[in-house]
Amino acid sequence: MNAVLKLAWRSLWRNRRRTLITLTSIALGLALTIFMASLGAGVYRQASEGAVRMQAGHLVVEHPEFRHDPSPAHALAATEVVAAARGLPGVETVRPLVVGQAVVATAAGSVGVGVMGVEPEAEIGASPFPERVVLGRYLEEGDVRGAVVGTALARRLKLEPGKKAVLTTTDARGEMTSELLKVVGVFQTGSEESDVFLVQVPIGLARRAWGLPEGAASQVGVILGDPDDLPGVAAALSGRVDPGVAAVRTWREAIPKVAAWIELDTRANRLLRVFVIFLVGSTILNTILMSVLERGREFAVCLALGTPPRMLRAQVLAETLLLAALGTMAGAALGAAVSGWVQAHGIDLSLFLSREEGASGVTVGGFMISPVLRCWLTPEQVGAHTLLVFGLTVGIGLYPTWRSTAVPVADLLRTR
Amino acid sequence: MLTLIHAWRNLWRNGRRTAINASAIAVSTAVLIFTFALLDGSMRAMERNATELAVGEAQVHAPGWLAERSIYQAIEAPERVLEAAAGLGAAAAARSMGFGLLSSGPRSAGVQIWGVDPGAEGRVGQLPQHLARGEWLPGEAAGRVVLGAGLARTLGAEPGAELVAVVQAADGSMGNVVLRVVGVLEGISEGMDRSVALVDRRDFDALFVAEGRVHEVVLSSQGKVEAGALAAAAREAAPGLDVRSWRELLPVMVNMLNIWTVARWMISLIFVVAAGLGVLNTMLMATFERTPELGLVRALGATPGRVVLDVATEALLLGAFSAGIGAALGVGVATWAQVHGIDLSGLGAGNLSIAGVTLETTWRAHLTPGAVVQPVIVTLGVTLLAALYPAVRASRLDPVQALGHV
Amino acid sequence: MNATPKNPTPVPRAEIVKLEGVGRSYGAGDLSVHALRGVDLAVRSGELAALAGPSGSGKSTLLNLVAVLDRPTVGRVVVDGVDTGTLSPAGTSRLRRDRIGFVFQTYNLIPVLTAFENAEYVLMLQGRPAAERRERVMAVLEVVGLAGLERRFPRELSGGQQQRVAIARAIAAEPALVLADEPTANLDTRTAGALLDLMVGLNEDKGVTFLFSTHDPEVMSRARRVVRLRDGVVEADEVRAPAARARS
Repeated sequence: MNAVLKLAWRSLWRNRRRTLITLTSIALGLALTIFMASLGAGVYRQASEGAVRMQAGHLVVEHPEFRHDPSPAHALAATEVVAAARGLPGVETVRPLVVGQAVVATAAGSVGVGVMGVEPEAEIGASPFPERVVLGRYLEEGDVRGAVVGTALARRLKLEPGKKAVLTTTDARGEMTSELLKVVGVFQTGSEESDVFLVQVPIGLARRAWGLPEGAASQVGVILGDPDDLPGVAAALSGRVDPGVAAVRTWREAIPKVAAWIELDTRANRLLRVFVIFLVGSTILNTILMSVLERGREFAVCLALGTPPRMLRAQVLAETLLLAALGTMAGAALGAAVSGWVQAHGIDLSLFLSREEGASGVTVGGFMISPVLRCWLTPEQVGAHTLLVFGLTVGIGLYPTWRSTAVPVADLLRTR
Repeated sequence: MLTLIHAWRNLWRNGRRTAINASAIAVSTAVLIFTFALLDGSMRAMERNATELAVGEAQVHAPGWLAERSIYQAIEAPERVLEAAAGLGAAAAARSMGFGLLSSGPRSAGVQIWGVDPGAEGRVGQLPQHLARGEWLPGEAAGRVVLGAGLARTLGAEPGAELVAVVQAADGSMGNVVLRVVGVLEGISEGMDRSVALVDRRDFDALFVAEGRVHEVVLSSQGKVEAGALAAAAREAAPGLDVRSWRELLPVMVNMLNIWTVARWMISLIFVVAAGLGVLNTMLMATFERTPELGLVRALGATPGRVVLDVATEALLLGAFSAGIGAALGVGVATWAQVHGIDLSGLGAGNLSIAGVTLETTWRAHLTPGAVVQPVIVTLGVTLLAALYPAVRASRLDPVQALGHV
Repeated sequence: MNATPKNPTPVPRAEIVKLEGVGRSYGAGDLSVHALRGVDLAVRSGELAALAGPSGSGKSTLLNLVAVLDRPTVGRVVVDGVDTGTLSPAGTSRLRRDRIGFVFQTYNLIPVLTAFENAEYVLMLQGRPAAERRERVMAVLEVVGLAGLERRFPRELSGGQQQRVAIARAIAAEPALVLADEPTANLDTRTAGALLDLMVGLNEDKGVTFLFSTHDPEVMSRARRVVRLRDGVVEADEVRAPAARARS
C-alpha cells in the first residue's frame, strides 16, 4: 500500500502542469458552488429576516382560528403568553400586537388600511419601522392617539406630523367604531405595500377601536436573536401555551408567501448549482481521462513486469483520491474565503436602483429586502458541497481507473 | 482550403483526444445556452407578471390622481383615449376607482373598489385567468363582486356570500349596496390580494353616483409595441393627461428587474467561468500533450508561425464543429424547457404549497438569439486561447527540446 | 583477449521455453496475416539465444507470445513448465513477475521511480522484505555498473545507463528467463557493445537465460544460438561455439 501511495504521489507531481490543471478544475468548481449556495442562503436569510421583523416575528402566538379568520374577535389574553415567551433563552423581543383592517379618512379622502397596534418600547430595535421614520418621530410610551403612517399614505391623505385623521372600523361585536388619530411621524420602508397600506398606533388605541379588553392581543410576536434557534424556542414555547387557547406558528406559516418564494428560489438555485456541478464534473472527467489515456505506455510497462491489474488500479485510484482531497481542500478554502468576504463586506447593488422617490427598495412578496447582497456561510454548506465534489471526483475517476488496465500492452511497449 | 482539410484530418489522427475536447466544448456550450435561456425565462416571467396581470403596459390617469386617488379627478373625455388606443393597435380598458368599506357580519375591511369593463379586462391583462375560485364578472349590472384572496379571507367571504358595501358617493351622499361574491382572485400582487374588490362599471356608477367617471385607462399592445413608446404615443394622442409606462408606475418592480439583471449577470459569470474552465483545461492539456509532436513539425522545417497557425486552425475547426453540436443540443433542451417548463416542485422534499399559498412552480426557459450567440462566442474564444498559449510556447522551444518533452 | 571456454553443465538443462506448432495470425479470412506459422522451438536454461530476422519476420510476435502479452492462434507455448494457454489473468501476472525479466528497446523504466526503485520494483511486487530487496538491488546495480547512481531518476540517466537499469530490474528477482526486445537498437555502437558484454557476462557467470530479438549482425555474432525467422517460419537454428568475449 505504501508503494502504491508513493507511486501515486510521485505520478501526480511528475506532470505538474496536468495535475495543476485538474486541481484548478476541482477547486474552482467547488468554490463556485459554495459561493452560489452561500449567496443564496444570505439573500433568503435577509429576505426572511426583513419580512419577519415587519410582521409579528419569527414565532407568532395567536388564536387558533386567527390564521383562517383574522377577525378582531379572534384575539387572545396575551399577558401570560408574553411573560412565558420573555423567559425563554434565545428570545430577543416579545411584541404583543393588535392587527386589523380599517378605513382612515381625512378631508382629502379615505383609504382602507391595515392597522398594527404596538407597544412602542418593544418595537425599537425589533422592527424596522422606528428606524425608517423620515418625518416627525416614532411612537413613544404615553402616546394615546399617536399614529405613524407610510409616505405614500401620507401623500394620498395629505397627512404630516401634527395632522389628524379618523380611523373607522367594526369592532369584535360588529359595531362601527371611530377613533381620532394624531399623526406623529411618517415612515418610508421602500416596500410599496407597507408605505401605502400600514398604520401603526399604540396598542391601547387599537384595543379600544376593536373593543378588546386590557391585555388582549391578536398576535404575540417573538423575535429571536438567532433565527437558527427557531425550532428549539418554538418547541419550548408550545410547551408553555395551552393549545386550546393559542397556537404557536413559525414565520413560515405566518408569512407563507415569503416562505414559498424562498423555497421556490432555493430550488431554482439548487438546480443551477446542479448545472455548475455537471460542468465541473465533465471537466474533471475530461482531465482525468485524458491524463490516464496519455499514460498508457507507463501502465503497459507495469503490467508487463507482472504488476497485478488490481494494484495498478489501486495506484490510479489513489491518484484520484489525492487529487480529490487536494482539490476540494483548496476549493473549500477558496469558496469559504470569497463567501466570507462577501458576508463581511456585501455586494452593494443599490447602484442599480432607481433614484425615484418611493422606489428606494427591493421587495419580495411585499416585503423589503436589502440591496446589499451578503453571503451566509455555514460549516454545513462547505461540508456538504466539499463531500459532494469529493465524491463526484472519485466517482468520475472510476472509469479512467478501469481504463488504466485495459490497455493494449504489447502495442504500447514498442511505441515511443 | 488545403490547410482546413489537413487540420481536419489531423484532428482525427488522435481521435480520442479530439473526442474528449469536442465533448468538453459541446457540453459547455449546451449547458451555457440552456442556463442563459432559463435565466432569461425567469426575467421574462417577472416582466410578464408586472404587465400582464393588472397594470398593463401603460396607464392613463388625470393629472394628480395617482397621488390623491380622489374620485373627482376623472379623465376628461375618456373616449378619446380609447379611440387613440385603437389607433395605436393597442387594447384598452377603462376603470373607475373608489374607496369603501365592505363588511360581512362582524368583519369589515377598507377596500379599493374598481369598476371594470369585464370584457376589456381580458384583452389588456390576465385578471380573469387568475381566479382561484368562482367565476369572472358576468358583464352586466348585476351587483356581483370579485375579491382578492386576502380580502376574501379577512371578510370570511367565499363565492355565493353577500357583502354590504358602504361608500362615500361622488355627490356627497352615503352609497349603500349589497353585493354577491362571484369569484376570488389570487396570485396577482400583494396589494390586489388584500384590498381590491372588482365590480362592473355600471354597478360602480350606481353605487358611487359616478356619472361615468373613468379614473384609469389601461393599455396593452400584447408586447407588440415597447411600453415606453406606447406611453409616448398615448401621451401625444391625449394631451393634458398623465400617461405612464409600467416602468414608471412600478418603480419597485423596475428595481427588482434591475437587481435581477445584475444577479443574472453574476450567475452567468459563474457559469461562464465553470464552462470556460472546462474548455480551457481540456484544451490546454491536450495541446500541451502535443508539445513533442509540434517539436517534430518544427524539426521538419516548419516555422514557429506556421506551427501556431496550424494549431489555431485546428482549434477553430474543432471549436466550430463542437460548439455547433453543443448549440444544437442546448437549443434543443432549451426549447423543450420553453414548451414544457421545469417543474421545481419536483426538486427536493417538502410541499411548495405552503399554508395554501400557491406559486407558479414551472420554470420556463425563453430562448433569445443572445442566449445562443454569447455561449458560442465564449467557448470558441476560450478554445482558441487555450490552444494558442501552449502552441506559442511549443513553437518557441528548441525542436529537440520539444521532442523530448513529456 | 580470448574467452575462457566453459565446461558444459553436467546436469540436463530444463526447457525454459517450449513452443509446439505455434501459429499466430491477425485478422480473418482472405485478409488474415500470418505472423507465425508452425513454429517449434525450445530454449533451455542457461542459453543466450538471439531471434534474428528482418522486420516483419515474426520476432516480436514470438517474444510477445512467450511473455504472454499475446496468445497463439494454434499450438502451445510453455514457459518454465507452465502451459500459458491455461493461465488466468492473475496467473499471467505471477508468471511475469516471478519467472520472466523484461528488457525493452525503449528502456521503459517507470519514470517516477529512481534507478534503485526501478530495479527494486519486481522484488517489491513479490513482497520480499525491505532488507533483502536492498541487498539484492545494490548487488545487481553493482553488477550492471551503476553503483553510485541509485538515486537518479530515469530522465537523469543516459540511454545506455537506462538500459542497464532495465537489465538490473530484469535480473534482480533472478527470473528463469530474460526476454529482451532489440535491447541495443536505440544505443550507439560503443554503448551497445558494452551492454552486450554485460549480458554475455551475466549469462556466463550467473547462468541467466536470455532470449532476445535483434537485427544487428554484431549482436548476433555474440550469441551462442541464433534462431533465424523469415515470414513467420524458423529458417535456421544455429548453435555456435561461444564467441569472443570482449572485455573493455
